[in-house]
Amino acid sequence: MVTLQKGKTLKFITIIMALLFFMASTAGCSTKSEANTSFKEISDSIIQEADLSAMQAGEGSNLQKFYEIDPDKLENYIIYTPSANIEAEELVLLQVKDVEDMKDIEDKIEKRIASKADSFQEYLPEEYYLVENCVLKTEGEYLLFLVASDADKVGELFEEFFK
Amino acid sequence: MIIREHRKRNRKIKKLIGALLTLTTAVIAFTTSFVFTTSDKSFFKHDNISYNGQAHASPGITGKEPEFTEEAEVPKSTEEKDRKIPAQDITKGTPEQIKAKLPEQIKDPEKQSPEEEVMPTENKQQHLADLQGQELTVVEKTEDKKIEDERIEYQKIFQDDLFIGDSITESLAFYEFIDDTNVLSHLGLTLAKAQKDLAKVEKQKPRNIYILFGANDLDGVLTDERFIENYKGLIEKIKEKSPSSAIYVQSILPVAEKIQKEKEFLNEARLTQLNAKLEEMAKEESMNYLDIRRALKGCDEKIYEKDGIHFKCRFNPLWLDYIRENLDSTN
Repeated sequence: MVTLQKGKTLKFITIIMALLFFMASTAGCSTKSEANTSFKEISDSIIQEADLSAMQAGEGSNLQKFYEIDPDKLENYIIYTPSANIEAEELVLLQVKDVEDMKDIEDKIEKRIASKADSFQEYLPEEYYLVENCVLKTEGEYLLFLVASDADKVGELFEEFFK
Repeated sequence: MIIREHRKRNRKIKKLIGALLTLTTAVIAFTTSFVFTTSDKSFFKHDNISYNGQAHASPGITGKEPEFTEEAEVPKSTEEKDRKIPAQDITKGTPEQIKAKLPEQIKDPEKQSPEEEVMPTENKQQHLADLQGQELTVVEKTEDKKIEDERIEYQKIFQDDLFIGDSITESLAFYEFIDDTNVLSHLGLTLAKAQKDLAKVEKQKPRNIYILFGANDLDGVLTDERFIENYKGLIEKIKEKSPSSAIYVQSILPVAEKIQKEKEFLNEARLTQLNAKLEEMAKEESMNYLDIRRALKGCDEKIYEKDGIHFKCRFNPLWLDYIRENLDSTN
């Protein structure tokens, strides 16, 4: 025969409930690695969806070179640069450390867009068209910049993560 | 009687514990099945973006059924089952179309880097390296470590010089063979347009200035004489800004055969004739002439980009090597 006093039973149940509650609530805590995972989810999806065949994987120095963006201000980023100076297609997906920096970064990318449009307008109409129809979207600490023929589709995919 | 009551209470307690354990198992099963249908094991971790700050239950309560009896009033098992599990809310934040694509990527969700399975292209492998937190090496357009070291060497060799030209010259900076500060160029630049912005010449007072124009200037209308006149006009302006700089006139580069057929004014005969006049002008003006067409020796038309006018990355070191090797011979 198994016995347990009334008080201890209640205590036991309470502990289990508390434990469940604690695990549920701590599972909701955000950590830096979890933010990184979110970026990973977004970048994985975008990498899979976007046509990167005309681009080359870049690095932090490319952020400086093409956009004058300091990679130290970013939590995460991926960058794909044009494969030649006469091609327009490129991709930047980034997550800023401080959302206060987003406006400045956005301005720098807009400056890049204007410069590319100016370069391509007269001499490379097809590339100019891609630049004119580029996607530049921000959601909180996340930014997507994409010049590509499928930019609209990828832009929508990006937005889906924030709905 | 009392024993029966105790047994009844025991059964109730056991039922309650059983219900709790069932509930916990259900949560674990649900979350595990969700993980198997997504590519991301981080399901167990909170995602602020997808879930708008709502936490979701973490599975983990397992254990043996404790042995106990009790007389306490305990919540009914149905209440436990009705308790909302925030994890179910995850589906709201995740687009169906993304989920539909992701399953085919999953071969072994227990693997640490499932992306490896679905990143066949070189670009995606580079992305994988990014995500794994590895420091990226310098991106090699030609993916040649030797070229990477040579880039640094070229930048050093030409650090006191200036390259002026159109988009062909711009590629030197784009592919990082020459530092941006040592290149004055952009897409569509012509001899006439270049005269309007020589600030770099004036500021840097380069040791050597290498000029390359042609593709943008030449059309079906411009004569050879007018082209040479425009060239002289640019050189005059450069000399005003930096009298001490040694000026090197570079030959106009050939275009691919398909372009020669489309644009006769860029065919081999015309360019050969024009280059001869350029060389003559350089001598008359006591300037240097570099026949950089020789850098293309041994190259086939694969050296060109798709447009048949611009050159692929690997042309740049050939070009710079030719300049480096022939600087002394022109003096």
